[in-house]
Amino acid sequence: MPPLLNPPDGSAPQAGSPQETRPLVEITGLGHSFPDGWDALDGVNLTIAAGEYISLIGPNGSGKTTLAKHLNGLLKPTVGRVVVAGMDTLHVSVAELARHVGYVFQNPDHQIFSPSVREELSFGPRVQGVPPAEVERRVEEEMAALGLSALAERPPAILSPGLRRRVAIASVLTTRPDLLILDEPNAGLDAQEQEDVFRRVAAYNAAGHAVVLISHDMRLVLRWSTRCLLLSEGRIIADGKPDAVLSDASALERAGMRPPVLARLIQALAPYGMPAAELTASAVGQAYLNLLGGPQ
Amino acid sequence: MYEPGRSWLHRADPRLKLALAVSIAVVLLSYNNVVFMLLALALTVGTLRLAGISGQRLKAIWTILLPVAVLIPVLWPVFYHSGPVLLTWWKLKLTAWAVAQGIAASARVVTLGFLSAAVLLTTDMRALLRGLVHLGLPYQGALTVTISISYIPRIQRTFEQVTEAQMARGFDLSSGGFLGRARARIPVLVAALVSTFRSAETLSRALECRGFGRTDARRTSLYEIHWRPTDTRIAVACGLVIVVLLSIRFATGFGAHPLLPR
Repeated sequence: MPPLLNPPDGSAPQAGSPQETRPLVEITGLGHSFPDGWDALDGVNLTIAAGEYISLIGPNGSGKTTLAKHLNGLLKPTVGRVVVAGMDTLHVSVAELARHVGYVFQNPDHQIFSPSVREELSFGPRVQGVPPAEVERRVEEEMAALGLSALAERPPAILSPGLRRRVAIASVLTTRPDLLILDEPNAGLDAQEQEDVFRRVAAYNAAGHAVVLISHDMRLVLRWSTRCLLLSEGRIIADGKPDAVLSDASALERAGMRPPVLARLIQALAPYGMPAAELTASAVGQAYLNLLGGPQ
Repeated sequence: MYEPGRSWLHRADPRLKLALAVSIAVVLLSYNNVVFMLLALALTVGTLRLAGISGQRLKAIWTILLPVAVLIPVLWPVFYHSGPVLLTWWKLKLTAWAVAQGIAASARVVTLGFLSAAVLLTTDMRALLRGLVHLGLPYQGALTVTISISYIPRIQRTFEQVTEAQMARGFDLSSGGFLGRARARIPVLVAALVSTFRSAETLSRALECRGFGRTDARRTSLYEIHWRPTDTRIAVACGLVIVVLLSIRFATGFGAHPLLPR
């Protein structure tokens, strides 16, 4: 077995180390058919390197969650192969893969059960055999990062939806996974909470951990991810920088989606000489001013 | 749970199906004979297959009933010692009647399970609701019953999702001894119950917001059920068979013994 990507002491791989270049996930010819005959995934090939921030987009039923569940072994390939941290997911348990892949589910209530926030956050690393002092350190760090310190002894089940969401994310972050999967993490979060959560995730990513974000919110995809995969009917139909994928009108149309409003604006102004631009208000605004010959 | 279809069982009035299910349950509880019980089980499963219920669905029901179906014949000989002895081991005595009674009791429970499934798999919840109301149950009560039934698959799905979520955090639910595995289920149970209670509360509030519980106006129904002449014919035919079976059982004593005719 190749060396583990996540060192046993829980520290993150150092930026620039040779580990960053080794693929964390290698998926070849992945297909998945459910018992009722539905082919949810078909011929998916994908490589994820440590430190990548990938967004999975596509309409409901396109296979985003099914693909993500293959990354931690909750679903096993019916065709093809999924290798995570050097392990073929077909031959290892979900518990073993959980040491490398953390999954934040759509509904936080599905994972919250402990009598206090502190215990909820320590549950993951404890079952993974992390030494108590290290568990405590991680719990304090995540509670501070996500604004949960004042609620440490409160039962998470009675917190507000936004706080429960933060507890769910923090409780996965304490396991220090090499790959963090976030399935629609912004539901129930207000603007400030979203900012806090995504800043923490960005910091975690900057420390060399890979992140997979499943979202229907294109603003989040554009702002945070560095690579975007567009899924349609169980296939990856576009893979590239978020700006490029979300400006690919024909691919989006095939998936039954529309480009974001800024991409549509650039497209509408293209006959007048509007150049391609990053899909941010300031970049598009600047490109428009350039087009008009205004101030730089 | 409803599996749409056009069979006679699907088209039968829900009141008839409920009455038949209760009457057949009375017959099943009256008889103890193992052969009778196995025939009843075969007839029930055969009727469901003829009604177009898929083998996959029947297998799923069988999977739920399996632990009980196995446990009853295994435990029965421990408490029942009448009849010719087949085998003696340590303090345990296995008798022919105990084996027959165990199998009969197991077949009865499984048949009752499939009987309930026969009603639920072939009856649209709207029809069942109207059926219960026509049988005299208050609308609120009938709606509670039908919502509870509709929620069974949803609760099952919640349990699956919670199990997945805990496994994804590194919890190993499949290894260890019986006690260890039972203890490992606690996080799943707590999270699933909290989640279920929360959705039940949300549902009740949503119903209230839609005017549920108003008593100052007469309730009308968009969906209505109608008793057809065919329902009368089925009721008469099945009713006769049930009366004959109960008469034979109580007038002659036939079927009271697990193995012997009487």
